[in-house]
Amino acid sequence: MMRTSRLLTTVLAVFFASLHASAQSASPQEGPKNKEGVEDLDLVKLLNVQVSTATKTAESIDDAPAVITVVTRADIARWGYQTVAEVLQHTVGFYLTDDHILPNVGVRGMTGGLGAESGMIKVMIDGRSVAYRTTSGNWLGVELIPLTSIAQIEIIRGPVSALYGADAFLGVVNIITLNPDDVKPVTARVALGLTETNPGGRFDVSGGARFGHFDFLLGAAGENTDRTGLALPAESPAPRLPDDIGTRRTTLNLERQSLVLQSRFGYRVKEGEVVVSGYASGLKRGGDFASWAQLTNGVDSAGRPRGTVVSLGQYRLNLDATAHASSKLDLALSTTYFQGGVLPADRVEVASDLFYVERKATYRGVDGQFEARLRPWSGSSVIAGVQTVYDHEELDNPVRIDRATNLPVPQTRPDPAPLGLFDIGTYVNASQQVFDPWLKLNGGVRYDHHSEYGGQLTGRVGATSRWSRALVSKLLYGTAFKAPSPYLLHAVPLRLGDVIGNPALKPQLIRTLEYQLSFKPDKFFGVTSAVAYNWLLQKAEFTPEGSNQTARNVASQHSLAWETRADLSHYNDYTLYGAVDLVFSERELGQQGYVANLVGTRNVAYPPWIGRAGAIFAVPSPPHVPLQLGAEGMLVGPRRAADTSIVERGEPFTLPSYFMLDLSLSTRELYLAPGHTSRVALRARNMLVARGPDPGFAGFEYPLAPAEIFLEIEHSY
Amino acid sequence: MHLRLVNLGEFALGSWSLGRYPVMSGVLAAALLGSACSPAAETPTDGIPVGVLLPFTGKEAALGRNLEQALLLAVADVNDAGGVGGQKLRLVTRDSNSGSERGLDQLLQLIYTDQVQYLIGPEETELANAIVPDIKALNILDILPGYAAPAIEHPGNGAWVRLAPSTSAFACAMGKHVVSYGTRTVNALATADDYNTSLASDFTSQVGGLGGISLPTVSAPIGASSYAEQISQVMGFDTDATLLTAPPESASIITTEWTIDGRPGSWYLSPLLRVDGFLENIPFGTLNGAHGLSPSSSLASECTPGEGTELHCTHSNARAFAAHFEEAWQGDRPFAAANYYYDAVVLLALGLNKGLSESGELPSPKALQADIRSLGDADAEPVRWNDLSGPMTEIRLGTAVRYVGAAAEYEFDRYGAAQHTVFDTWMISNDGFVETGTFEAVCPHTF
Repeated sequence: MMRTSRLLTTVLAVFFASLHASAQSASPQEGPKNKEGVEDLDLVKLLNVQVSTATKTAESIDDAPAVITVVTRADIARWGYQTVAEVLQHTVGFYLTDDHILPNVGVRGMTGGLGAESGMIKVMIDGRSVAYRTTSGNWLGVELIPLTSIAQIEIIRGPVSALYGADAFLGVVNIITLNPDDVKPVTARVALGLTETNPGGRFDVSGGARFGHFDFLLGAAGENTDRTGLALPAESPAPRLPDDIGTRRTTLNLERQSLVLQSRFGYRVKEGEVVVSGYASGLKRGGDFASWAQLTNGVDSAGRPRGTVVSLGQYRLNLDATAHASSKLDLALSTTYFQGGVLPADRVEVASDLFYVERKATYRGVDGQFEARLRPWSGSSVIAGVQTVYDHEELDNPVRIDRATNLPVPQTRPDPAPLGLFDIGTYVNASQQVFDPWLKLNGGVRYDHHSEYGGQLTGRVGATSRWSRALVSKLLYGTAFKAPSPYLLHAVPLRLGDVIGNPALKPQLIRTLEYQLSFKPDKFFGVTSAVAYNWLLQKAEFTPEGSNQTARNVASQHSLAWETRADLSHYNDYTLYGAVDLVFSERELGQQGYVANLVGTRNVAYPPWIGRAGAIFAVPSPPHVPLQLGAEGMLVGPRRAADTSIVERGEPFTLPSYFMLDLSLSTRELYLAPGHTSRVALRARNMLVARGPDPGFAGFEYPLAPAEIFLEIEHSY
Repeated sequence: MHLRLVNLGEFALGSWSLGRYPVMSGVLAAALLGSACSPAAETPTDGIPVGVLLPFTGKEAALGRNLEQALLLAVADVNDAGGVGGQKLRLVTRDSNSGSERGLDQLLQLIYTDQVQYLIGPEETELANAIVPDIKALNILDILPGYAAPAIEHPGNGAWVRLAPSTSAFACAMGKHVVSYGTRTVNALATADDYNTSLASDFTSQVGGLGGISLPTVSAPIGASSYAEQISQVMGFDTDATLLTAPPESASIITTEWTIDGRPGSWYLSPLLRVDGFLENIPFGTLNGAHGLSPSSSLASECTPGEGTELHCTHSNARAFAAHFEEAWQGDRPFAAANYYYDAVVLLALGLNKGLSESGELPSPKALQADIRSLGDADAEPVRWNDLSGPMTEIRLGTAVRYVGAAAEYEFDRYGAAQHTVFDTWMISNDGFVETGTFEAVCPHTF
């Protein structure tokens, strides 16, 4: 690793030298005027950024009735984030565990557990969910969106079902893409490097233009990296390993391939706009840490290749139309056709020498929404709408494939009948500036009715107050529900002990009371602190069902979270931040007996405290190649192992604290030629090679994300 | 401390040979376990402790919670009915790890650290056999409700009660059943544990005794990822029926691989495989037509004689217990063995109350076993599992009662083993278990 670092550093030094020569021939003044480079965005602008996710109305972050973090395009570039998962990992109030297939987001002490796939939050692109519907899981890797097409990411901690319906449960991540005026013809980023000792690369490109009333945006991103070599943590109490594995505990296939394509075509006039957009996303992962069986990749006793590979895909076609009916009223219609499912490369090992399993699950459906946005008078807004979703799910029987013949094992049971899941929701949300600027009130209510689990009523109220120019407070209360996924309702087990559906599963409910205080005395310094009390009801836990396990609404959870972040910057000299999360959380398992007593009421899997810090400093460098050195660290407190691991080990145990350090050496924007900007960076993740592990939910633990070092080049025109 | 105990077992006695020196191991274990940190799953300390060892992890993990639910339900019912002389029963539960050395460690902790005087389980034959000398040394009553319970005719101190049919009783009934539908040649594929090996042996012997031909049994390791070789071997004998006797997880792999192999031969399924989870984890439909047998879920009093050994029975008692169980546990259905676990607690409570009424103090294990055996007295007043309040009072006043349980109307032999002669036969059809009849099977020497 050290040798590799030295090599790349040398390469980078040579590259910087050539850049220096090139840059001297192109004056910075010849760069785009009136266009802000990443480093030109000062803190005060970032802190007063406009957001739209909290009420679907553009407003300042201080006025928005939600606890929001905004990560701008500039932040993404500054810190070198490669995925939205990395963004959330460094966001206060969040904690991610990663099974190296799909990361799982936890918020304020609460996690989804086995197979949750970050489904406890709602992830949207321009206000539209991009969840993989069968599992309600959210993909947060490269396959989610080209980062170069993002204007900003609005991250809400807390329930927002009253506006967005099901699954806006522990939070909402709304990714706002560039508006037509900010789209450059081409922005491309390429990164090449090593993940541990495995070579890999990523690309991310987007571009577009505006021609009168017409505009378009195209984007693509992809990844081909490899985490192979990570080891199964020794703390794992009951991994399910192949019989012939011997003493090997290292992985042989953690390859990661991701691809996302997006397009947007708009026609915009002052009376309104029509936008057609498309989205396709797919992923393929080596599944040596899959829940069914671990370290399965390799060859079997007959010399045939074997191993779990997870491969999923989805696409969406969207049509949005907005009419500015009057100066006070907008009408919006949104429709989406979505389709997704397991791709042919998918195969699951279940620890048999004779066969493996192919999953057969697809979905398709439509999502339609009509919304009226009214601004009856100054300082007020009212949103009312109706949304319907029809989801056609085909969860067919898994097919066992004979290794010797590659033919399906015959079985007589017909596939289950397709599911037609239908949801209709109607909502209204109103905001009113009561005593400007001291008090702004917001309230909303939404009712959803679903064909499987019936009606759900959610609501929220909030008050935001600007006590002074520097001091802002928010007091919020809201409820939300997490809908049971089609998978949890109707899963067919792949092996003995796997998940089996529970058609009686009901939504999980949450009630949250939050108070946030922000103090921003000047443009160089700001501190924000929030306290949230969450009460999660009808919490779904996996419980035995015959020889398998099924989700039941048996548990509840309380959590008290305190999250604080301070930012300090000084022009381009430095940018600093520090953040602390403290969480106290207890559960009531809703069960009696051995397991309940052994596991107890203390929270599991989520760290009781997390400290985060980041710093970027300008370093002495040639004037035409301004360099900056960045470091971002995360100190994570000890995490109690998950229930399954505790039971398998026969006693509670805790996984040790760890410190994850990322470093970067990068240029600021370079103006190599008129109209062109470039940036070069050498970025290293997990420089201390922290291994964790993090808690797993299937009798084994996960190693942390591997060490990486990548050389990254970005160019815009 | 927990690890030291395991090391002690390995050092002093070796894997599974621990049971041959149980008193020594127990005493040493007790010395080391004075401050053992591995927790038993109980929090309150009042009431009469009843030790329980169930499989919550390992190959039999699917059983643990369901059987524990039956025990918890019974404890609640008994305590609601007044408990034992006003004292409540409470469970002290530990994990057998499906019979591993860790499970033995937990079992020793139950009796040496938790110092329970009354023990329910273990489910695993090997563990039950391993602690026989310890139970004798500490003079404990051990109630064995599980199908896989071993024979219990042990002289000396300690006492045992076994509730489910023995392997020989099962083998008797299974032999008669397969012969009744024309099977002439049999063999077995059995996992290499005491219970399944014994059941296979008894079954093939029984068929031989009934005029059939027994061909060699093939043994297979528990928990292997493939059984292709054993399947090929056992089906190579080309018998009319092959008994498959294995834990459900191993059996599901065997069945899947057998399907891949072209489904040669014909399986007869052991009583342990009558669980929905087994069918949910094999290629659907491939076992349609396979036969099996289980202890009857009907009480003897619910049956009337039919033709030959056939009986016509109702199943209202079993349905009533299932409804009681489902109501208590949010719709969970009881496994077949859960009824016996429920009865274990009630029989213990009735026996303790009886002893208390006779001597004014809790009875010794031997006396308690005799009191429990007396609850099978056919002439006594019947007491139903779902009507305990009155009888608990009556038995404290000295009234002789006969227990009508959730699983059976018990009749015990002098060793404390319940006698079973009525069995339900079933077959698999449309991926479900379909009962095909009830019959009486009586064989000599069925303990």
